[in-house]
Amino acid sequence: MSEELNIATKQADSEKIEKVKLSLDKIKNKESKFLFCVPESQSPSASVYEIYFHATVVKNMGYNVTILVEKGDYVAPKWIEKELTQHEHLSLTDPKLMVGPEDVMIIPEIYSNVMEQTKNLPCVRIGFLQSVDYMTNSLIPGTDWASFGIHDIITTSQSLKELFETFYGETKYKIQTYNIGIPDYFEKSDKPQKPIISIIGRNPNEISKFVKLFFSKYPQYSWVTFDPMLTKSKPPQSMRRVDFAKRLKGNFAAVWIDRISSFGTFPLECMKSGVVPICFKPDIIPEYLIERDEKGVAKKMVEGAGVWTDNYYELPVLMNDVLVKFLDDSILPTLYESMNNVASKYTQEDSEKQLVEIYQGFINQRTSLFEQALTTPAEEVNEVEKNNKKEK
Amino acid sequence: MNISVIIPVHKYDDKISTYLNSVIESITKNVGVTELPQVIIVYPPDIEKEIIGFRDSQVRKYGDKFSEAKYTLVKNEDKTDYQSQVNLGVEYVSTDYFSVIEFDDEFSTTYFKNVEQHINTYQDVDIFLSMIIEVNDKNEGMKLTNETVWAQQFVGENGEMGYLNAKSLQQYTDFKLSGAVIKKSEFENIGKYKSNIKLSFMYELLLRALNNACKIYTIPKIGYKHLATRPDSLFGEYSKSMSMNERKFWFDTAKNEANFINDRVIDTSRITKQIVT
Repeated sequence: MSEELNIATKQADSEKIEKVKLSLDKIKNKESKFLFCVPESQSPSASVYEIYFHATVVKNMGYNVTILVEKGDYVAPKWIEKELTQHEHLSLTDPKLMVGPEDVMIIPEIYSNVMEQTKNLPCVRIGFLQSVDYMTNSLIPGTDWASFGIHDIITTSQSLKELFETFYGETKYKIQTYNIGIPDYFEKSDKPQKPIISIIGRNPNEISKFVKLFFSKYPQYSWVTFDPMLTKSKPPQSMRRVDFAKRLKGNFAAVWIDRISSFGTFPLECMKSGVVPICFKPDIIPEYLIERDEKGVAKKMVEGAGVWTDNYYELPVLMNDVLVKFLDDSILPTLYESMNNVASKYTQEDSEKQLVEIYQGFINQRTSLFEQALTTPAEEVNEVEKNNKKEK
Repeated sequence: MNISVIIPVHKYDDKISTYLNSVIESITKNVGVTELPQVIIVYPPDIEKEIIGFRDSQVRKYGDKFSEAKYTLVKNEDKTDYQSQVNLGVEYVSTDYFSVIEFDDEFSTTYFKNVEQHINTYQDVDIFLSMIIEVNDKNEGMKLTNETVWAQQFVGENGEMGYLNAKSLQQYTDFKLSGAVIKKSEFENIGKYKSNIKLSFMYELLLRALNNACKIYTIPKIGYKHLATRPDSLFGEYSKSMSMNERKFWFDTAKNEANFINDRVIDTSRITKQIVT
């Protein structure tokens, strides 16, 4: 009987070793899968764009990429460049969806339910944090990502990392940061800019109130147009990001009101396009407004990154100041230079380099784990597994 | 520089001398250009001595920065109304574009930089209107002019922002050509200014230009400062001496005459006299 047990154990060990070998081969041959969960959003959202950007970076590294969506009839967003959305899309409930230990799943903060549902899957799961509000909205009080077995996190700024660690602990997670990249098609116009103001915000009431306050205080500028950055079709629709960039650079200034933004992509797009952003400071100060020392400690606010205020009711006055300066042609070239300096740190090229490093890190980590498993005697592996189970 | 500046002067005294000083100063203060424009002063024979004296004083003041070669003095022995003065001045323009500045007005310090930039960008545009700030005698801003083409509601659903269109111009007449940059060839093609039209001659030229498929665009920068309250200015005189009926007559006439290239004789007997009852 014990001999039979021994044979069965050895067979099981050898099957395990074969599985590990197979997974390792798949990683080495770049046959492992990267699965990116994407929330459905037909209206432009920097966070959705960013997930597709990650997916494309990984695809360019030579790995298989699958986009996981909620519904089977999902249509890739039209406002994102086609090159970024040309991936296999699969529904999370699709029976074809199979994952192995060699695979990596990236789950954005909005999907805490997916984090929970996938906690028994054998793949590596990484949380992608772009918005603190989305994260907290989807979490039940008292839970965090570690409750779902997620310990690896990618996020878009040091500020977000620090904020996350403040509330969820510094030791439970390994958080990696990178800089978002603004596409090169956000560029300065070679034509003179027009007296039109782009206006973007999360809360339509705040946008409408701003416009009304501005026209009430400055009726002499009733001819000025605020551009909501939608298509001119009827009904107006969201623009493709490349068309958005083309429209943006022709306008001389832009207003941005988004209290809950966690990064603030739009002001950066403006700075890169030579458009003066007039912004209401969100609760989380954008990373690009923070000057840090060599150790990464915040020192002071960056100067010349457009016009920022923490008083909503000051926005119309600041808008007027910028408009008057534009009409008088007295906006200092140094403002455009400093805006360009700020934005130049956020290129897609740099972003891609940083992401390649992060994702390669996950692959290396997985590879060495499997290699270690293959070189460790089966008894030890079983012992480790037993201990792991006990801990859980 | 591919622009010349015409300054029509019909009389000369100390006040006008001061104004003219400011005009030349505003030209020489311009930044962002490698060259300053040619200036053409059109004047009647009776003030020739004063105009030459003025030119010489400016040459001494600015030296090489704005030398004698920059001035073209044109003695006008014919009619000295504004339109005739400008039309004569245009004959001496050797550049593709010209602008007209009234002697009591000023260019902004980036006027020529912006004009050059727009000429290079919008080569199909025939007339670039300048955004004008109207000031009072205390140099306080009163209002803007020519800015309305930048209002979406003004250009209409099918109109392009920044461009003047005939439909809108029929409804809103307050556009001025002071400080505008005009393509010389198109100005001549459409028949120049009409001296037979009073008050609404600029409006008539704009309508005529649009009727002849010219493109008119407002540079969205305040490029020109206009003293709106000088009592003896041309339009100041009109506002004092013309009844509302007469003003209406001239704008109606402008709409009719804009269909003709020639400066036709206007039958002013149709102007109805105001009857006080």
